[in-house]
Amino acid sequence: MVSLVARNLMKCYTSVPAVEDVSFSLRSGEVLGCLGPNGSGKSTTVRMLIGLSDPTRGEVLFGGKNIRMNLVAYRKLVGYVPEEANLYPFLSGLEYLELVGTLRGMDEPTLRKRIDSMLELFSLHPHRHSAVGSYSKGMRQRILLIAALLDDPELLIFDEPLSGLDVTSALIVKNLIKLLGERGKAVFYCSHVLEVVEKVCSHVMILRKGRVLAQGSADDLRQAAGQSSLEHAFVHLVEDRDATQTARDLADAMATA
Amino acid sequence: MIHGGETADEDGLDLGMGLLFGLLALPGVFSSLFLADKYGSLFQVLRGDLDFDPYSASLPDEYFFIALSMVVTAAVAIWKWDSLLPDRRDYINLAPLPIASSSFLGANIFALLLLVGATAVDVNIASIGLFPLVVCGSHSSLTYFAIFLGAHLVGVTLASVFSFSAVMTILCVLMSVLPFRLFRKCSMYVRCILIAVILAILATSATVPGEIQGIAEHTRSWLKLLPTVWFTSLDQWMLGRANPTTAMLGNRALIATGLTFVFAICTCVFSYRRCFTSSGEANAMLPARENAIGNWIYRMVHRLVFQTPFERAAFRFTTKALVRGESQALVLGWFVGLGIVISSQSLVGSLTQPISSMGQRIPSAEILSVPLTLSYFLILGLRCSFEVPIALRANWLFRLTVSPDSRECAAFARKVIAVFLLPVLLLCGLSLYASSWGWKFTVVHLTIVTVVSVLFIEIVSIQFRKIPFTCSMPRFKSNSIVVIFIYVVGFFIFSTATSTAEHWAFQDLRRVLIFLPVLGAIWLGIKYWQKSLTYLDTRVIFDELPPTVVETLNLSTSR
Repeated sequence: MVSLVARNLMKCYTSVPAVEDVSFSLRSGEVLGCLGPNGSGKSTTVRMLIGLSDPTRGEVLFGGKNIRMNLVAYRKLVGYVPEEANLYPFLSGLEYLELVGTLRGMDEPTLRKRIDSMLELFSLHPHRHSAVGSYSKGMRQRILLIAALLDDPELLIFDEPLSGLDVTSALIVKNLIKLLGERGKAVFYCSHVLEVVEKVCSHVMILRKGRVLAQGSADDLRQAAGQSSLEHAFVHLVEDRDATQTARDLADAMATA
Repeated sequence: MIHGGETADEDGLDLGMGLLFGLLALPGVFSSLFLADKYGSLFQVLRGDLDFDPYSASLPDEYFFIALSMVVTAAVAIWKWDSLLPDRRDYINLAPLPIASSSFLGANIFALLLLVGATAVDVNIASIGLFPLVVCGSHSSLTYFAIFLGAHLVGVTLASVFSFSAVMTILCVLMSVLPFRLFRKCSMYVRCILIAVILAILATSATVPGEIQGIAEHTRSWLKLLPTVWFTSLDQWMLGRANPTTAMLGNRALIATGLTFVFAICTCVFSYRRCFTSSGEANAMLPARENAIGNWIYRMVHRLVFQTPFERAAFRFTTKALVRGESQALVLGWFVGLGIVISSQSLVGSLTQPISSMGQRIPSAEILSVPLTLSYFLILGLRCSFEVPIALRANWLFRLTVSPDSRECAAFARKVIAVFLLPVLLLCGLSLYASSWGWKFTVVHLTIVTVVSVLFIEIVSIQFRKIPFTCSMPRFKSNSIVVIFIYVVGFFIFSTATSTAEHWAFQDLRRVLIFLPVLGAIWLGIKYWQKSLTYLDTRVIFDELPPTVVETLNLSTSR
């Protein structure tokens, strides 16, 4: 059973800490949801987990070993969906997936077979030869999801994977994440959408201003905050301003002469 | 229009207008300066040509400059094909605004006029400034110079306006006549055909100028259909050297320019409304098919050259980025174009010599330099285009999958350049030498060119530690001027010096053996240089940052 452990992670940009003292562990079969408002350090944490950014302090362990010791071998076991769907716009969807699979060292027949079946399942097969630049946001997101799942990785790191997806695709992905957890994959799931996190994740971590504010199962967090839903618990823990009042102020500002 | 376009890459190379116009003017500078020895009075005396008439001698060069002017201006129009008329971004940004579409049309036509004017001036400014000086430098009369300058200025400028208007007309007519989807589909093919046409126009510089003076009603009527002949005839007419036929052709140049210009504006107005409304659907996906031939070629090249998964993936990525990336294709196209211009000048030069080199026992140094020149510019073009980033924000994929300690980048770059170069060398060698000078010379010459090219590839890729197109680059490096100087000197060593040495060696084939120790010594030097590289010199990078004036130590952050 493999596990991902973040130990006292800290990341500073020009001496200002973006993430400070973040620690958690994620085992096979678990889906850990990471919640937090904008600027709370979710994406910085993800970048350190994937090895795209070096922690200023602390370490990330996978299977008991620091991922820096053999980054390439670690990344071979990781599927990653970044926050923004930045793909090469001049490649077709099929070409992009072939590029990903070849770079990951997959053999050609397996690669072709998996690409074909996944494109079919994500309803992208008819558009596989069209340039990614002409894809809608949701289609690009689906390509990213396929790219992450292509090599059957042990650990999946999703940063806002439902962004831009239509209702059907979002439902598929939500069910898929749950299923992946049940099948023994370790899933780290970053999102703003509280309902999804509540439904999909076995554990939740809430970040605020770069620090872990609360950690545990969704039930634990609800009970600790004394709230009826995760959304209320989140607002109770994180937000320090009244959303209804802010909306009213904005509407007033629009009508100001 | 300069920065725009449907396929413009936000993260990629933004050449900037200054550098872009500088690049477009450079072929004219090179071409003018290369002619200095032909018209210099000292060289005429040394050649024993005391009865030298610059006007007559300048006809082939005038033709060449007119062809160059047409070709470069048309190339700009072809390159900016997608952004001459409003594109999807314009539609998205402008359509919701409370502005009449006639205002957009007026602004677009004004911008087009500015672009054609600026391009015509820029492409020809070097030849207008330098060529008359070179030709009339040894002549004391100011009137002589002024007449030549005026004729040249009118000829090349009108040629530019004509070619730009012609491409614009083709674009607007296609846009008006074809359904939008079909227009988008055939757009790339039309552009390829136009590129072939302009290269063919440039290639006529080798043979057509000699025919112009003797052109009459009955001779080679197809010559009279060439726009380059019309504008050269116009130039001759303005110099007062026209016969009735060339005067008629000169008149045709004026009428054709006027008509094409007016027709371009009319078709632009006509197609504008359709273009503006349909550009909203420009992002719609067109059905595309798998390229079976392309895949077969990839499989063959993979099997023969690229063995590792990284090399295979990166080769597919590199070729597609080169073909589909606008800035990358522009950089490569500019170098290759310059190579073709200089090579064709060498060919023209050797063909217009009193005794044709083609009839000689061995080819002249100019003819021997053709594949070397093409090779030099192709290698340099590929190497420079590799530096130009494409969709940088998508390079996280390579950051995630390629080990920074991988030392594959330089070897990969060498293989890619070689794969592109070898077919060009073979094609050029077989077409140019095999039929005229036989297989023996062809094989020896191509072997030397290949070995020299391989050494040059080794040199240019020795410190290459990027995956092509995936690394950011500062717009200007502090050593840019030195690099350009090295490129120019490198060209003279690689092409001129090597071809001269070859010409000397071919007079007695045993002399070819002298190349062995020289090339061997260069090879050893390269290997020594490669061995002296440190770990940091070979580590894969994705960000090339300019050197900072002040280094911060970040002492406030405790580790």
